[in-house]
Amino acid sequence: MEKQLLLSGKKVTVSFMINGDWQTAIYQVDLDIHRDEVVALVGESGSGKSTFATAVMGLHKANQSKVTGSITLADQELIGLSNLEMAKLRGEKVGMIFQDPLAALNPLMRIGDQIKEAMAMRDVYQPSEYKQRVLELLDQVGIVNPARTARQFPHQLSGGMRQRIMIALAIANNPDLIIADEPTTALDVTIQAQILDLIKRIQEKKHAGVLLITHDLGVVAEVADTVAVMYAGQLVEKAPVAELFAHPKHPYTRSLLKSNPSIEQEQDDLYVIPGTVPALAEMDHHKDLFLQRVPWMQELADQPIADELVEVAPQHFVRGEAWRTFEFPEEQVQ
Amino acid sequence: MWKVIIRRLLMMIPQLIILSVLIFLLAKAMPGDPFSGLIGPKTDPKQIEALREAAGLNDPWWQQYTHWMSNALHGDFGMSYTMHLPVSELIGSRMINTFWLSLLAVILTYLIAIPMAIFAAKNEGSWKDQVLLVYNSITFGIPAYVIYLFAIFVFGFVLGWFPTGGTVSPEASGWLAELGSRIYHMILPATTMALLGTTGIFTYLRSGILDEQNQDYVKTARAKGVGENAIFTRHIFRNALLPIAANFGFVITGLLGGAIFAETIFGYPGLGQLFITAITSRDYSVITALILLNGVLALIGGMLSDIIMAIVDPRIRIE
Repeated sequence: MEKQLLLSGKKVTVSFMINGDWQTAIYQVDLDIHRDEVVALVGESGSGKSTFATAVMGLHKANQSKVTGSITLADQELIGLSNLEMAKLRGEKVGMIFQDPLAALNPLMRIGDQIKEAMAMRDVYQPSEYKQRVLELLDQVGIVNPARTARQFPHQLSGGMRQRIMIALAIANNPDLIIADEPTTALDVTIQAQILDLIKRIQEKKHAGVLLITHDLGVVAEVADTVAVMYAGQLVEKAPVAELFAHPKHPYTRSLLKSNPSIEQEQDDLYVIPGTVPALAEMDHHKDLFLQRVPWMQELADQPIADELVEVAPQHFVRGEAWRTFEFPEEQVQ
Repeated sequence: MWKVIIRRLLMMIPQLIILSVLIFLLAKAMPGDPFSGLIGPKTDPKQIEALREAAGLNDPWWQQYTHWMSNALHGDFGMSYTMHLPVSELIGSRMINTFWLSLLAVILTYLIAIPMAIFAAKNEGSWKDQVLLVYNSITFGIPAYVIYLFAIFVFGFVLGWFPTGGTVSPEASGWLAELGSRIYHMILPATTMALLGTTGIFTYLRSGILDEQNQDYVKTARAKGVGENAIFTRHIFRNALLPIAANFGFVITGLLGGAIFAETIFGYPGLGQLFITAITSRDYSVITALILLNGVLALIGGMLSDIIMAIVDPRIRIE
């Protein structure tokens, strides 16, 4: 059975005005999220993951950025909506969880008031019902003493509790789509699993779609259904999670997986991808930008390639042709 | 909350003791004493010495200090040597004048500076912002008395809109007319002081707003669907006010210092004017009392800042 399509991004391109020039941060990103699906968007810092999420939320500053292409949320086109129209959808149709919960909560407002504020925008509850609804939400995200926590301020809570509050904020209006931007990065390792588990549980219960932005492949393997790998503002590979881990194709995906420590294999040194993501001004999106960082594949690095990803196996899309010939140096020797 | 306030009040006691000891010792270190001026060719040094002995000036300093302090606590700061009036009486009448003038000036300062800062921050980088930044640098940089003189000259003498001195006109009869006259006398000095005093509040608030509007919690509020007006008042502005609250104590502390110039030039008989008169005539008992008062104001200002901060910022409350 085909799942209901929630979010559909088509050729999403975001440019920023930097020093008087328009510079393209993400280029022609196609990404769909269905109901009951967790899509992980993976990539290094600076690859444009958050830029995509921010574009979906319509939170890029209008005078300093340009978003083109098409983003539809439940069949409604988002690009071109006024800030006021977009504000109505935020929270209601799509909720967002941020990376650093301490910075993402207003230090001067009580937790209960911050959650109430998210609901007060909607006029769905009677004033007397808010308190009960806040307590329910806090209970849903696993807060042990909701009444007490609702009266507290963000600095009085632990990091894990704060992130639970962020989740409560994001789901306060029962949105169909939840965007989680690196939700576990700022947390203790022991807390990370709890928070992931909570997100997964809430997603299943509400039959929501989740866009999970992360650079942590362990997180991906744990909760994602579909993985999209992003490099320098473009998708380079997209596949169901099992397929991607079993048969990674694109050189970047393979390098990422190779640079992740593994329990099965004894390793003295981790693989390190040489170089860094190029600066925005140096990105030529008509080439496979990752190949610049592969010293032994320089002859392919300058060749122009198509914008679209190619389906190489059912539901498995890869960008360019370099993956067919790419090998790591030690594999070449053997 | 009450615990914070009580704790802060208790902290003021040692501060006050240290302050008063320092001021007493500094006053003692000044050359001469009340009787030095009485010495003439015909006075018997023995007689002077007897007066000194009787006044307790030959006692050890700590005895003199406790004597002075216990008198001060009873509101007795001694006699003014030049005006031959009790210091407390001199200060008392003028303190009320200074209090009302300062209060009006402070209120006007906030009323001018806060909208100015909001307007500048909302138009960051535009010519409107630039104009306000330049205005605040100029008013901060120019010596206040230059503008005071200019204001008196233009609005007092040339245009004749405002009186050029005093607190109340002698013709005013009846409490309403008197109140009106008092306010009328304060408008020019208070407005001029306020227009020159915006820089601190303006700068703190403007940069506060610019900082806060890029914070993550503002993004969270947007992601919740909160409207821009509510985001500004409930989130950005409230957080940006914190440095202003901290600054409030300094404003209180600076009042007496600011009043010295303003009252002297505007001919307004308040503490500031008294201070200048006392210093130029070496009226030590008045100077000492005023310095003590200024110090106490500084301590109260600091305490108010702390208490206000504790009220507005939950992170500062000590549980």
